[in-house]
Amino acid sequence: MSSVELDHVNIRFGDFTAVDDCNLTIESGEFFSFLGPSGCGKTTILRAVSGFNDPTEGHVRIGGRDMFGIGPNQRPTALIFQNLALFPLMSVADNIAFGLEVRGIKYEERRRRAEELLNLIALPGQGEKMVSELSGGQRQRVAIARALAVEPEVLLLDEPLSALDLKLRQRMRTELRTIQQRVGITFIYITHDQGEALTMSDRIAVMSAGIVQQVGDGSTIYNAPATAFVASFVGENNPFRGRVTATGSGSAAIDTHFGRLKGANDQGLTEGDDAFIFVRPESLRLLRDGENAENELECEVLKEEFEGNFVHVFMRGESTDKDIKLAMTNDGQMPAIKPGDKVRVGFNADRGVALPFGELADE
Amino acid sequence: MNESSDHTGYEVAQLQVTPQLPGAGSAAPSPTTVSPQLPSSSPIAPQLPGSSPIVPKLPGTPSPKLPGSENPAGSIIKAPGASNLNITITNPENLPKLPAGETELKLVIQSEKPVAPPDSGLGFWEIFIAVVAALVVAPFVQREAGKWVANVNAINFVRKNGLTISLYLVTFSFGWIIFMIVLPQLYMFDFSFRFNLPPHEVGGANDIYTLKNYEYLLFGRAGSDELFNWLHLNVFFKTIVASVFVTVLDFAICYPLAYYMAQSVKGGNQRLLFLCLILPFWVNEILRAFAFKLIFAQQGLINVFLVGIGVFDQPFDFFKADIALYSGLMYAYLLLMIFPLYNAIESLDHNQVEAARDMGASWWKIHRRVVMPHAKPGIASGCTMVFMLSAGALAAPNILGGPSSLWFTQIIYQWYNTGGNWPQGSAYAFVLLIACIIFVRILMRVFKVGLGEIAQR
Repeated sequence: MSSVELDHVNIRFGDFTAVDDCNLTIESGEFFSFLGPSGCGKTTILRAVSGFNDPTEGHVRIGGRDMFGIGPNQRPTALIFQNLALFPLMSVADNIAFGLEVRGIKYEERRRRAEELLNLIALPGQGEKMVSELSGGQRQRVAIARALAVEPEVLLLDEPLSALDLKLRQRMRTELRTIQQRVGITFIYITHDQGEALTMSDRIAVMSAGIVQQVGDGSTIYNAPATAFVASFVGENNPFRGRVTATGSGSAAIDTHFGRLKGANDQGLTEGDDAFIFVRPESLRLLRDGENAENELECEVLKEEFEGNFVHVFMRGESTDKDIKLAMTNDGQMPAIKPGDKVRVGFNADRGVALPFGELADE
Repeated sequence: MNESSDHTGYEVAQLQVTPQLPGAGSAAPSPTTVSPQLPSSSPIAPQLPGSSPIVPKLPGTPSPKLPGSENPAGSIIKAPGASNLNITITNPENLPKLPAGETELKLVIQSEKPVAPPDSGLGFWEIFIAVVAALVVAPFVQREAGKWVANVNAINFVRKNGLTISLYLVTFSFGWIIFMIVLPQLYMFDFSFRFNLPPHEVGGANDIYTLKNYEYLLFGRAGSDELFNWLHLNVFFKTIVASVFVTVLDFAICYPLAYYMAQSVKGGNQRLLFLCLILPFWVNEILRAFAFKLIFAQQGLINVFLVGIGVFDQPFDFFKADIALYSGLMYAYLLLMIFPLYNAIESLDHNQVEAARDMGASWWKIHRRVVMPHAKPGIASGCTMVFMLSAGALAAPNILGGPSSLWFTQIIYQWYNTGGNWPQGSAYAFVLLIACIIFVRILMRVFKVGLGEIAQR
């Protein structure tokens, strides 16, 4: 078990900067996720840790040892590929024991280890099957077992769940987390799926365009995003753009199309700054007659989407072209609304997040 | 004298008659041998000048016919003013007794089969009847043909491709297989079991099946001192072993290149590499072989260089050591090795290579356990082609072979060409073909490759 240290890592391909000054430390035994849209450089970081490419500048250290120039076959890491890359011409047991085979470990010992790992991934006695005979979820687990067989100090996972269907993906999240806790090694997980990152990770690094935007645990990332990108990429968010008109005691007031809105100011905005105030759909609520909130908006209902546990209401204010999304819990007390209704919605100042103006994630 | 008694048509004709004819005319001609079984081909016979027809009177035969020009079946051996005419009778049963002292001998070789008189052209009535009959039959034919076309159309293959294209496909593929592959090979196969007969004896009584040609390859000339025909057998085994050697070397050279092209290099560089590989093959094979001859010659590029830097004191004979030949063969079939390998390796998911590497595998292990098993059909396909073609090569061994080394195909060529013994050549060629096929099939069995897998590449 080792920590992974990314010390001012820069990775460039010609003129293109894939990773721009990434500087963070992943603790030993941690489940750490890199979350970002495709092309943000997260896979490049993973390949730098596994040894398939070296950083242009900076250092990758595993367990305090600089890994520069050390090939992937010499590093204490194991990588699980997005398409798993199981060997189709070998049996399940041969796949799992491949890392041991190339290390020259004897057949009986390999078999014993493979059987142990098959038990760990809940596929006991399936070693003689061919990979093609397994289901998607089983292959997933075989890939994990194959990676674990070489007893890596760091396990790297490159969106391994993306090929699975939703139900299986949710089950595998839990399983992965369980396996990680059982073996206790460092997991570095790459994903563009925030649900995966939020549910499994101890900490998450959100990346955009090669830059690490924020590192923190799930609730920090979700509740207190550090940049406009993080706020808009992780979960749903309603951005309102404006100018800071007043600040005070950790909050900021921003003039927007909907008037003055107040929110938490953790990023040190000062008066006159170009800024966003973000409010999550579930923080917005419909105001009944006579009810008031710290921040209020006048909107017209466009449509309603029923999603089971939630009902999403899409609204639009006067003179704006951006939909506002509101989520109501389907708890039997929802007010009846229909498209075309004029409604007032509101949120408390501590549920709004004021952030400096910046690029939003594509929707 | 003789007309073979069975009267089975043209077989009668296979005879040579050698009587002593006393009291005959002037200068003796050389012994005449006639092949009267081809009546139409011997029209000269009756027209020989100054002939005295020899017509043996045989008991029980119809009175001999005089050689009539309108009867091509009866061919006559003439001794134009000959004092002696050699007649050998090869069918001695029922040999009639030659009357001693007979001064005149007439020989009629007569076919039992009546021959239709040459067509004198159609008369008016024939044509008239044919036209009327055609008009009567036409509607039926048309209707039946319509039904037949409808039936054919009902076949899925035809429905999918249309009649014209289906016909083309079927004709072409069957035509190809039958006329270009099956028939010639069958013909040669049949040939290899026959005696090497002069053209006029082909199809005659001597044209029977024999294993002589195969025996010759194994045991040599009857009555030779050696038990086996070591001269040819040695060449045969040397050819096989050397072809294996060429194949293995070719594989060793091409595999890294194919891997590099399939998995590492991308885009423009890849196209450039392909071009570099293909372009030399626009030059024809003979020219390339001669180019190799120049390069490897005593005063060639390589020798000048090696002597120049002091590796050798005097030029090395690359031809005697067969190095020139092996290089030439390897070069000739380079592409046939590279492309199947390239195709096979190209379809390998590069992640598998990286996964293996990540698991700690060395390069050798990656190729041994991941790349080669995946590329096995391509490897088999490439090796088969190079092996078969090397074993069957003629130009390169002819041009680049050493003075003392012989390729088996060169022996075959000699049989066909200078030896003029096609059946013997066919037998040798067949032995080579069968040996190569067996060898390849054994290797495929050993490496567990199916024939279908090879065809996929």
